[in-house]
Amino acid sequence: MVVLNFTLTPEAASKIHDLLVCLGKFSDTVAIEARRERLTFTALNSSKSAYAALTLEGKQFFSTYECIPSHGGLDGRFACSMYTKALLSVFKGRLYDPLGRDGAIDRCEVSVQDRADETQCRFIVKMICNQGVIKTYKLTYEAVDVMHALFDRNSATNRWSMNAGAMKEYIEFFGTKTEMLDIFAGEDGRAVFKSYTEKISNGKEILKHPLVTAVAVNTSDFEEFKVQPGLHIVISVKDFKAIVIHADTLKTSLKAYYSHPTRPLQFSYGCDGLLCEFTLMTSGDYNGATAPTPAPAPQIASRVASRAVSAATAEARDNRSMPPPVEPASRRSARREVGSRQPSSPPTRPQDDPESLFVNQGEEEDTQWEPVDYNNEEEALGWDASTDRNAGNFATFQDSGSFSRSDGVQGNADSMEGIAPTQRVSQIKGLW
Amino acid sequence: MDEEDELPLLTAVSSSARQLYLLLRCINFAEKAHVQINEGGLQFSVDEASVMEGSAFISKDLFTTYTFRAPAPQRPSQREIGDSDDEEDEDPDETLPTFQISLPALLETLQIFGLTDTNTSKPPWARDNPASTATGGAFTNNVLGMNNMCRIAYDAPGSPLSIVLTEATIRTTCNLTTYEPAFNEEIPFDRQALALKTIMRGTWLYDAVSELSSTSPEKLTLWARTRGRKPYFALSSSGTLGSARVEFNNTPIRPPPPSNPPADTPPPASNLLETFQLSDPTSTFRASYKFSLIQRAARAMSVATKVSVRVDEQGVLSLQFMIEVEAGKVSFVDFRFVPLVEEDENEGDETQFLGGEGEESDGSVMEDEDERRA
Amino acid sequence: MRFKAQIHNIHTFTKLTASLNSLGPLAWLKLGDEQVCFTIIPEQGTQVWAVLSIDAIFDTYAVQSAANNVINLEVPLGPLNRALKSALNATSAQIRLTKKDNIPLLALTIATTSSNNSYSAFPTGGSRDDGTMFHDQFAANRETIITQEVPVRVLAPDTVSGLHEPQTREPDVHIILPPLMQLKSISDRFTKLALAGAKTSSGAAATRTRLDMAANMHGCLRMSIKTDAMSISSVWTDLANPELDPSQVANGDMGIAEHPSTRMKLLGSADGRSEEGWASVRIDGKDWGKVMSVGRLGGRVIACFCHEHALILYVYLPTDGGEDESVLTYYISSYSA
Repeated sequence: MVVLNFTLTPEAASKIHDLLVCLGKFSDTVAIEARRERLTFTALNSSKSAYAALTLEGKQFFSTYECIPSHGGLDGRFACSMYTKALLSVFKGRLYDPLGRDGAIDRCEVSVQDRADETQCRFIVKMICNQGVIKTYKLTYEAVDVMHALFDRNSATNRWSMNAGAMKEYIEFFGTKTEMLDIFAGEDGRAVFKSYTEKISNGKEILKHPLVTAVAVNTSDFEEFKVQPGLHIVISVKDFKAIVIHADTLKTSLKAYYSHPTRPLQFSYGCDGLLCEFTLMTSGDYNGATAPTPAPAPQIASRVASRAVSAATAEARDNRSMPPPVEPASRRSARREVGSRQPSSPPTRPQDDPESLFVNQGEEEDTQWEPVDYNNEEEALGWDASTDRNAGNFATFQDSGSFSRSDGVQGNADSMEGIAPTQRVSQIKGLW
Repeated sequence: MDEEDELPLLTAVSSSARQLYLLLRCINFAEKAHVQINEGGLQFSVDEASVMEGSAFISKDLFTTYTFRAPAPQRPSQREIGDSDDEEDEDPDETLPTFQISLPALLETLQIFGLTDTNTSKPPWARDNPASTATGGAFTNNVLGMNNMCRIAYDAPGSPLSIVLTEATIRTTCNLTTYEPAFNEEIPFDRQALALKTIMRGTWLYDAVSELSSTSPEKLTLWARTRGRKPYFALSSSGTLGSARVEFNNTPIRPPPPSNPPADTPPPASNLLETFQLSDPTSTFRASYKFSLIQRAARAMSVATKVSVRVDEQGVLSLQFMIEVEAGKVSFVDFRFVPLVEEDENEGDETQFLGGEGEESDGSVMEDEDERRA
Repeated sequence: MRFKAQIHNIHTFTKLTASLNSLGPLAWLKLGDEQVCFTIIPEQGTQVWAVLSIDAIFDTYAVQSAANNVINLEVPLGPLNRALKSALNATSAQIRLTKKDNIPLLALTIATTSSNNSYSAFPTGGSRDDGTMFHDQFAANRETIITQEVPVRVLAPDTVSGLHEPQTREPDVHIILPPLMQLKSISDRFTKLALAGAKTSSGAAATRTRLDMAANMHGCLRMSIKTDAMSISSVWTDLANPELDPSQVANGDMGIAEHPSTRMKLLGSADGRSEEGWASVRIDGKDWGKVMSVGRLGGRVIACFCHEHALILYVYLPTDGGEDESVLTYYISSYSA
């Protein structure tokens, strides 16, 4: 029987919240892998193009930490999987209240109740609050084999590092619905982060095309920037945003390691006993620009399922067999993956994106002028499913012109009233 | 016809609509509310499917003038604030005007001018001062901004209930259609035979219920017992993702927090549970209610200074909220809930809390229970 | 075809696009020598015809085309607004018409000084080595440059030649509206009340969010709505009815004497309690909520009521005292009873 007990300070519990929010943007479920010295949260997205491993050091991150796996000796581990949502309902926001007000937690105790009888397996979280209130949660979990992505930093010769707060400012400029991010090392002392979506070339559809945003940053604004000039590398913009936003909660620097397109890229950051590593699939160049792009190794797909046990030892030894954590890279799969993940992430409405940079005073005031969404009752606390009013009713001028030109109302235009005050486009004679 | 008939049955004027709004908002869970006008004030009550009811009493003290002309001779009302359980003296007094109105319509009207406040573009829970949901925090700028004249009039049976709000150069007149009362049996509650009574801060209960709601539970179970001489009260629920429990122990776990609490928070009570009575202190009390119904009292919980939680021997739950609508003026909002029929003792996750299994980590709290069962 | 301008009033431009976007996703943008016009003609609901003086928004404005130096574009307002928002803290912002992969674009080039640019003062070792050969070229350029590309459609002159601003008869009542935030707050409540009423009764919701708006020539504005559960109305008093300018009215002083509003002055009262002298329209509450979105621009609004026919709002953009006023005209037609 496994023994896993640990205690968290309110600050640490709050960090668990933050990391779960981040992992929730990748996957509905999160795996927990506990070893004697450390505990790791991992998540793999459904298309297996992004893998996250967030490791908490037993001694540094926790107030107390004890893990005795039931087998496996020093390398043994306990692994389980839970719904990210379930954990988030326990590790809510604002767990850490520096003012120590009522209801603020004093400490958080976590233990695992692992019985042979599967129905009695529980992940138990106990929030000890001020003044004698104790909140206890018993969450069900599933035993799983945790998969690990392999990444070889030695072969990742391109690397850069930047303050996450600054990076967060840049991502705010990206359009809300874009899918891809091209990171380009210019030859002019600038690096360009370009968010875009694969072209929709169909005539009228052009106007639906999301913004293309390019942020050109001086490479001197990076803490480190060693990238082969002219190199493009493309990842999912949503993944990138999730990572940057989380890195920013830690007030740390984000480091990127990569070799070339179709090979994995790793982001890494952390502090105070928390180490975050995200391994992402990359794809080829934006607009088909030329770059030394070796064909992806065809065998990599089978390596995805390589077990942790092998991963632990194989890591950073064999350069040549380091596979990306993904099926062979292609833009198509990346796009499908982005689409499929949408339902799991809370929809953000364009005008009040909670993470938006533009929440300054003017913006606060500005939202009052938005038309009321009467479907969004104040009592309804559930997810707001109505995401974007731009999505529907996107008629172009042309659309309506072909709608009903001969509506039989042209005669009215000649009346003494003139053209009706809210003339329909279709009512105007000879418009298109 | 004597001239008295030409005067309205009720004229009530208040310098602000906020107290009315604050209290009525607590029972805003049904389309229609019954209104009864009497000497002492206005009684608003709503019910749902006869398994839950809520009522708010708007005392005449909350108005600057309150003129009620009883349609026929009647006994003076015995009713007083702080005594709002005395439904006994409400012998069906046919002469008291009673009717139904649309409660949401009334509430929207009462806050017509509140919206000019800048904070109201956010939902109520996101407005400023999120820190103190306690008494002081209930008065957001929105509510304080409703600094206008509110006049309520009811002319005669069958008349609309008229609300006139004036502020600066804006005058709003609202005539609420009055409907025939529908007489529902009120949920019987025997306050002479209580199984449990405890009093606590409203926000503690609010916090607990919001916490449990994350499990998307169907039902909420109350637990109470005395351990040694110390009271213990807990709420628990379970859903597909797991179970949760919030417990209140009258044993201070640690000294007060290092930093001073905000000034508007009442001084921390030495005990979470101010009053605690069990009819049978030797056994564990348990009763379950439909979670979604309890949640409808959440607004009242969030603004109440105190809540009195009582359960009678039949399991009917009464939640009585003491709400300080302004300094020194206290009003009461009541809720009653019919219990769920308890199934067999061993019904899964919840019973684990008090069962013999898996309580190692809960030892200190649960030891008595475990011993007793052993 | 060439268009290029420096945006000097980014806040106004951003608020303008946000307001227009409430009414429809696409605007017809007409870039001319002296004016910039935004027009929204939704299939249903309120039309907006906005005429802006160039210096209300732009600096160093240049437009050239084969068609009398006028360019007509169809512009998606959401992306344009989003793009402009990223320039709110910019040190400079430029907009120009360009083409990429055969798709016409409005490209915004925005220079900002982000908090991170402070690093540039103390570059860390490695980065400077890499950048040495380009260092001279960019030594002075420490800003972060953001480009936003908004896809547009170029409209041919005869495509837009059939679009005409509505003509309406002389209004019966004209009045300066109270602060739009007040008006919006109350109309939003009314609409909510109407929708709540519609939920319980069988009537179609669409017909139930009709607000009754009325005004008289004695400074009163009235908004009301009626549902099964209630009737409610709000009355503003002490508003101003601006005097008509004889130079702007057909037949000058004679025209004013015969103007419908002159007749309306003889009816009604200043306390708003009289039933006479009101010019009223029935409008959709939800649509009105979208119109009120223009309040963010903070301009003065004159409402012209054509009894049972239409309501026309003239929204004047606040200017720095310049002669050329920019006006947004909203045409809202009245529903029949």
